Amino acid sequence: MSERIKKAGKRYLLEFGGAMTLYVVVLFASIYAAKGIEQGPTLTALALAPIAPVVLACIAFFRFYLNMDERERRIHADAAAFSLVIGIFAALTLGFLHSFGVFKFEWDMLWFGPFLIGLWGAVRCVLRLRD
Amino acid sequence: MSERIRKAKRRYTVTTMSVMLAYLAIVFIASQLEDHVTGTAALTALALAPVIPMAAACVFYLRVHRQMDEREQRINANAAGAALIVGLLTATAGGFLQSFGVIALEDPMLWFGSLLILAWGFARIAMGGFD
Repeated sequence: MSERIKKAGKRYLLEFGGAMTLYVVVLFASIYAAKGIEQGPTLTALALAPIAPVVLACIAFFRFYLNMDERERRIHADAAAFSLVIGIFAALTLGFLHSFGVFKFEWDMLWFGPFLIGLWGAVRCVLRLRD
Repeated sequence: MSERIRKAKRRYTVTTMSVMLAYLAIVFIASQLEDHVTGTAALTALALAPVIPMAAACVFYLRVHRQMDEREQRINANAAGAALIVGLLTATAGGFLQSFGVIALEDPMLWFGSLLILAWGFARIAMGGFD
């Protein structure tokens, strides 16, 4: 791995770690601040506040992606394609089970984001091992 | 585009269309039968029936993906990455809006699966045109 990519990786870890720390802080602050607040723009803003650090994490990832070598980019992109296919399949399966009343999982949307990230990471590891 | 890839794409379009028609028919039949079925096992089978054509569509996609040329594979994989990020942000935003009580979505995962497919399609068109 070249020095440039190693440097980019280190910067990505810092930026991503910072964004995730911010996410936890904003999340707890939003939950605390939302107590007793009625429906309206303030509650919507509080609910959407934890998205801002997630966007920062995405930007950090894109910057890192642009600095990767060709092989790593290919692994990341292929893993995304496989994860998306599995994600679509999982979302529709959950959706049908939910709509037919077989299975009721509260906040399934909220857990689906971390599920997609975990899946992407797992598929990336598999593809890297196979490569 | 070579004749082999063109042929593979044509076959993919035909098989996917057939699978989507089967999907619509199964969804319609399953929703009609839903009220007449009692028992968790039968209801689960009904709920999972529409997933079978979706699984077939996924298999067909993976098959055509392997037959594409390098450029097409790259466009598809990059578009999947973009759709995955969009999906991740949408799931997180929707999940928080739901958990904070701002919105109450009926069967959100069903719509989310469709949104992922649409996002992938749009990203593919944006990155590679209607090729």
